[in-house]
Amino acid sequence: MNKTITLVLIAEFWITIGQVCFKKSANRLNAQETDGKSWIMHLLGSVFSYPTLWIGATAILVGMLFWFAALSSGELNSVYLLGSIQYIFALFAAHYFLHEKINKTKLIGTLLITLGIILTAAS
Amino acid sequence: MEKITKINQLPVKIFLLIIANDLLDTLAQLLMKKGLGLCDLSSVASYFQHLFNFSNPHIFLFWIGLGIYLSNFFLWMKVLSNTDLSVALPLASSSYILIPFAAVFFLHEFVKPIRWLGLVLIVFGIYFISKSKPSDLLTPSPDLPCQGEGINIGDTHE
Repeated sequence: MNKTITLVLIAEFWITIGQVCFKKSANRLNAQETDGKSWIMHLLGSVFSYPTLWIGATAILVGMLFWFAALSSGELNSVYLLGSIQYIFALFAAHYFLHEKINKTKLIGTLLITLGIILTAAS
Repeated sequence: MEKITKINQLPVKIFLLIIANDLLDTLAQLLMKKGLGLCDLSSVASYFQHLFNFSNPHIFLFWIGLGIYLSNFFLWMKVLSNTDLSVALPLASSSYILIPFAAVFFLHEFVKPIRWLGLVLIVFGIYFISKSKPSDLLTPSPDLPCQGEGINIGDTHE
């Protein structure tokens, strides 16, 4: 069980970094002219020129490798429930790196989700 | 330019995209778990050996699952183009509701009653977050001077 917790924490750390990078890429994608291209072509055309997409993909890949290891070390349920720490990570990472507001509704929602997951994981 | 609509919460379309992303994610996770089975974690080498051991027919399920997981990237980027990360990520926790059901029915794992109670809290959490105001669209950050065309959300005034 300890091994599972460690693996999940390391996985979530990297996945959060990756998600922040993806969100940064999405913001940049939004700010750029599409030149009449469809959204998906716009994304594909940007894939090679956005370093944040590559850094993000690498971070997620590293996170995934730890995540797979976690998956095969415990029950799917436990691994998933432990993964809830991701929302706390994401809330603060999004605040500090992406300047997303932490408002009351969002905080209550995030805490309810995490509480729900702690409750289920503690059982 | 599409019509700019005044919004103060998540559009239904984006919510549905998140759910679709999540359903595919759940399917991918199940396939990967089924495909992996129990593998030797004593070394990194044995882990990779297990992943690439194609004489084990189950490992193909893992790779199909991984393929679905990777294709989900495009859907996820679409979601991120329209919402806060701190909104989109928790909403993806609907898989916390889907996974236990899937684990019971497909993997025959046991889910304790108190876990179902926790799931009810998660449902309420999802409700609150989907009602929260999208902050970055209301106050664009300095490095994001304008929204791209085709983004039909994000009036900066209430």
